Amino acid sequence: MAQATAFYRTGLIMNASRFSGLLLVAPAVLFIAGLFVYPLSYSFIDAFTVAGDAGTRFSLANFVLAFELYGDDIVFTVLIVGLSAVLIASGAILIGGYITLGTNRFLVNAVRILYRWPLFIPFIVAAQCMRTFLAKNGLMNGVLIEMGMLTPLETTGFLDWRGIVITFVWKQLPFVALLVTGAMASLDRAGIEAARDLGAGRLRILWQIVVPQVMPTLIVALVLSIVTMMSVLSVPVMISGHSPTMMTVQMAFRVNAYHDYGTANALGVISYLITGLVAWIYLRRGVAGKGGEK
Amino acid sequence: MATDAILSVRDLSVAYGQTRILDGISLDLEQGEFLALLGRSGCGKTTLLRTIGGFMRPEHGQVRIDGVDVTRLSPEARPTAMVFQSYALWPHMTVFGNIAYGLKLRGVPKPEITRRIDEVLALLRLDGLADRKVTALSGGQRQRVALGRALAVAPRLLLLDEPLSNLDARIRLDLRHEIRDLLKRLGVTAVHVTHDREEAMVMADRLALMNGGQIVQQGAPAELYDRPASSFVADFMGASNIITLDVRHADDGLIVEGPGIAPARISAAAGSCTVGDNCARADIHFRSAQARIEASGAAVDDELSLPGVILQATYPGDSYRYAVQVGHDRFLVDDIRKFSEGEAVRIVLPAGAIHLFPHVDAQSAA
Repeated sequence: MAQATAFYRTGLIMNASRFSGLLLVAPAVLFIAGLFVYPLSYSFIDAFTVAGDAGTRFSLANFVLAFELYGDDIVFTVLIVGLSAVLIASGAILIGGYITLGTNRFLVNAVRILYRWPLFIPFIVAAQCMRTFLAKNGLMNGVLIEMGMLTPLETTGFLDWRGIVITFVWKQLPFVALLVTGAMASLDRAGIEAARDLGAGRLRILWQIVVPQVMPTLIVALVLSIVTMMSVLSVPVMISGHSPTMMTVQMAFRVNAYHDYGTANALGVISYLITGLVAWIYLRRGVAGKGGEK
Repeated sequence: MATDAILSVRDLSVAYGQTRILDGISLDLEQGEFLALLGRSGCGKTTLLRTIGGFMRPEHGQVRIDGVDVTRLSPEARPTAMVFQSYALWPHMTVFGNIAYGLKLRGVPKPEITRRIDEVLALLRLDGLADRKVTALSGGQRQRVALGRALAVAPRLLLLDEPLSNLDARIRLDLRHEIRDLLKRLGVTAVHVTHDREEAMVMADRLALMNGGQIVQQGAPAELYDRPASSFVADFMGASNIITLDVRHADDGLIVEGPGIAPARISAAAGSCTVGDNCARADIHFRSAQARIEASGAAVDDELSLPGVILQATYPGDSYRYAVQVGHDRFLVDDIRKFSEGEAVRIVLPAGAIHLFPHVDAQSAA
């Protein structure tokens, strides 16, 4: 009898702890369901349907229109984000490599402190700064003219695709460099010393010993960065209004000018598939890496 | 300076900021010799090895390898190769990739690399593992790969930084002999850092015992073991039972006595108290295994007899180990005979077991 009571009590305690566990995760689950899953599903449905006399029906018309009108913008977006990602990866490797392998303590500390600053600046502020910096009569050309490297007639503005790339790299490089530098710092120093001991120079050590070991972190940081760049509206709007431009600008345009949510959502799904593809490549690599270790 | 020395270190001093780590170190190493740098943590042995390898710059002093001054050269420019405590293998490479790395850097042609790696793998009993990732190897195999990577480039001087300390005790015992055998067969000149006395004695031709950034004694393992030059060396080399007694010089030796300890005539004892009269009070060091326990009986000549009581009796194997209280001191003594806890006994030290040094006050020594 006593045993049965104890068992019953244990059951009650377990149920109570399960209940409190559910209660703890409930806000997060509701948050994701309400603010992510619901609008995402709604957008998906909206992208694949059109309204007609007989009600809404499945259709690929939105995608046909999106590719017809904004095919160039899709390619432009992929190229801009791709180029930015390559430049960000190179910059992060160089910054991390210098902090990890540099010998001048003063410079290493200076780089360590300085490189993080843009991390705390919002995209819209970064875009505004770049507008004044990269314009034809902007700060950059002003400085170059003052230094005698350009005459006023030779100046050109960078407020086009180059401006977008420069802003993305400037804004996202610190984030990727932060993760990559952390991963490099956690490597066994003896591994680096062993390579030096066998005769490898610093660049070779960076490329052959350090980078392969931090590659998983670099790829995660780049995937996150690519997703962020794909979703930024302020930078392309403020830096370059020309066509072709990035998909986010056209999505906003379809909604604001035409109330055309169908095409905007189709563009959204395409951009989702592009980032999904990048994430899939990363996941495949992760699985292959783990398989290889066994 | 020995002219045929492969390694010659002169008056080497190294500091981390204000802290002096090495203080005027000098040593020579000849072709094919295996030197062990032995000492406690923080004595500077690893710093000395890293300075020889080029990973640290000395404040002053000189490191010469094959007669060439390499003091200011970086590690990659020195004809040395180091085996690291953590193995320092590159996890993204295979066994082949790790061992071949140094050869590729030297521009050795591919067929030659393959041939030499096959040789190294066979030497280290790693045949068939060339394509295995190093993360899939056991600790002992990883250490062999690390050794193979260093040996593949045929360094003039091999530097071993506590290479066995991360391994299981059993594997460590096997690898000691294996590494010594291999290096002797190849005629490799090596410097080995360890804090394990037995490991150093088994592996090395010569020991350099370090303390406080200095080499306190160098010599063959037996020399340091049998004729320690100081109280510190005796203690480190296992003579760690210490009793302080009064010493008088007699015509045919020394007379040693203390409160409750009968005067004993000792004809010959190792240590620095045998000549001169610099030690009216002396620290007597002895090893647990070289003393014996007697239940009763009178002291005889050439033996020191310490009366005491057995506090604890344990059996670690081979013989019993007794903790014996003598006055205010407590000693560990091994004996194959069985005695009981609480039993009144005598610790008997033959003259050969005694190492005598001028008494060092613990407070002034600190």
